[in-house]
Amino acid sequence: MSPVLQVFRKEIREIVRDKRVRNAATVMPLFVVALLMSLFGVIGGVVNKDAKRRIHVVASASPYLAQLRKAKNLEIVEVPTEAAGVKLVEDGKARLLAIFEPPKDGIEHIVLRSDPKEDGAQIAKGAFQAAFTPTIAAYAATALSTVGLTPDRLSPIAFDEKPVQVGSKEGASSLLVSFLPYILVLFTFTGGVALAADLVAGEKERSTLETLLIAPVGRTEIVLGKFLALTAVCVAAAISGLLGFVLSAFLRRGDDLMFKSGLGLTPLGAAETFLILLPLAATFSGVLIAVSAYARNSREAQTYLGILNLFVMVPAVFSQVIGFTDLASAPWLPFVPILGAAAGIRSILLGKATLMVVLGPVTVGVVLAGLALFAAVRLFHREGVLLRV
Amino acid sequence: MIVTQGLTKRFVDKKSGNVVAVDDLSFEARPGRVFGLLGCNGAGKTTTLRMLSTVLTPTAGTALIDDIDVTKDPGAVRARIGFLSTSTALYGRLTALETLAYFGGLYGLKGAELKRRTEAAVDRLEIGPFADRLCDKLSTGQKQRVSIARATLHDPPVLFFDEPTAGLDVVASQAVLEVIEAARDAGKTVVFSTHIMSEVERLCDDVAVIHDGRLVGLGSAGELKAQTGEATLEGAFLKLVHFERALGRIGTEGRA
Repeated sequence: MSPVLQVFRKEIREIVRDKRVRNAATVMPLFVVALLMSLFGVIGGVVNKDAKRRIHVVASASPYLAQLRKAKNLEIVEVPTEAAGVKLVEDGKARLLAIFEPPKDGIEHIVLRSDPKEDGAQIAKGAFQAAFTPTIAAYAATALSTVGLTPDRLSPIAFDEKPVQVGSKEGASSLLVSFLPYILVLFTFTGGVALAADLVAGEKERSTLETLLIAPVGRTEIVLGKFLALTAVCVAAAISGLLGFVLSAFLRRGDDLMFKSGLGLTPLGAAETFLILLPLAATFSGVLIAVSAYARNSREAQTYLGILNLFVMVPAVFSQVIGFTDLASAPWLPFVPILGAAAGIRSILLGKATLMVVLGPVTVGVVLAGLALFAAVRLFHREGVLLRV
Repeated sequence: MIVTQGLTKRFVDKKSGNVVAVDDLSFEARPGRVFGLLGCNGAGKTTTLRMLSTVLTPTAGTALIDDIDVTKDPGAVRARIGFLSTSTALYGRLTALETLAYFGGLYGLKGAELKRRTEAAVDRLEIGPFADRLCDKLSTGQKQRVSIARATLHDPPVLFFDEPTAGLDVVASQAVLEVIEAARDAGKTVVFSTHIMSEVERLCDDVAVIHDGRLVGLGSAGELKAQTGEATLEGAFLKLVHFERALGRIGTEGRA
């Protein structure tokens, strides 16, 4: 067995026995994602269910209130007076209070009272107004017919929507598209961070590194063995994160906003995602080893890694909102480190991946991984760096 | 056999500037003998051993291990040496047996040969009762026995012991000293670094006294005593060190 594989095998054996690294690379991504997504599903369900149904109204004989009671998606709660209803809004016990006032000039006036800062109130208001949409449309049609017009003549412009199918028909929900790339990139990094400080800086601190340096194995081979082990941990963390999504999709059975279109990953999409993640993991691994080699001890390494975390977080977070900007279609985007990878996974989830979207991040990842690895090897050959503690 | 000629190591330190850790060191260590490196803390013993074991590259001079230059073929040198010190630790999450298998593999041992040597080391050093225990769970003495097995598993012709008894109790220290004696009797070249005079007198055939990186005395313990006119090795050592101070040849501080 080559020395590289021997070092790799030994590192993997130690990793498997290290509860902290094991949790960070597998258990945490799996359960944190599953828990987080299930929580989003539950919250989403509660928001839809509650805000659409419960409307408080001041008791009234208005025929429109009678009509409102027939709306299936609304739960009408009567209050005796406006003051009593306002008190409920102030106490956070009611989101929307409707007061049916006497008609003026044949028009029914409904006063809506709510806290404009509450998102739930806005949702309730929308549901309330939607309940009257058929009535308003019928009224408008009747009124227009008296002057010989139809409702479609009311506007000089008509809009006809004809969706353009870009890429495949399959695709994930927009919520999942914004979450999954971010989570995958982040866990690929954080999975490795848990191990990185220990891998070289920790060995310096515990004086095990010198034992290894005295063995007849080249320093480049030592770095390669450690690099492969760390890359495997980064990939394991990403796969665990993905499995967390699969688990939460299974638990929610696709009935919420997040998974209404399933995961949106075809087998080809999964392969492309893995293809993007692999060089990204290698890049993270190379950088983490270089940082760990440079640090005097684990504590110093953790300080550097904390700073490094920002360089990963910022593009990963930006990938969540990139769809709202023109940058999503910029030709250079696939070549931006980290962001290009996250944007690539996003395109795959949307079913719109092109060759460049996949090959760009892969190329950048391979080049950066090579550079980071080169830096790590160089540091391993600098005795002033390697032996300082 | 070890031959050093003008071996020198300089460091650049941000605070102290140029630091000469080892200065123009020349000596020979022969097979079947124990060569002692005697010096105070920070005298340059560990730096010397690190250069001989190829961990550090000499700034000047040469060092040959069995006629192989440490700078020209460090891999071949490392294959011929074993290194033991109290500061070289074990991997806590590997068992004693896994540690031996790992390092045996790195030294090119495999299959039946690796198994045979591991079993022999386990028997010789009485590692059996804790062979499958993680190194983190071993006592200091048990760890030292595993370290000895690791350092000698590949049966190297040259052995370095860098203050191997520091921090050990009397029983554990005795075991280490016996290993050194056994290595000498087996015809190996042994370099033994220490500042404990009794160990030097018991083990060392030749002694190099190092102070502030420079060789200030070389010979057997008896010769050093005769050279300085002292009755004890400790007296001879102190005289050699003080002699250097009196001449005002002390250089910089902070030697490794």
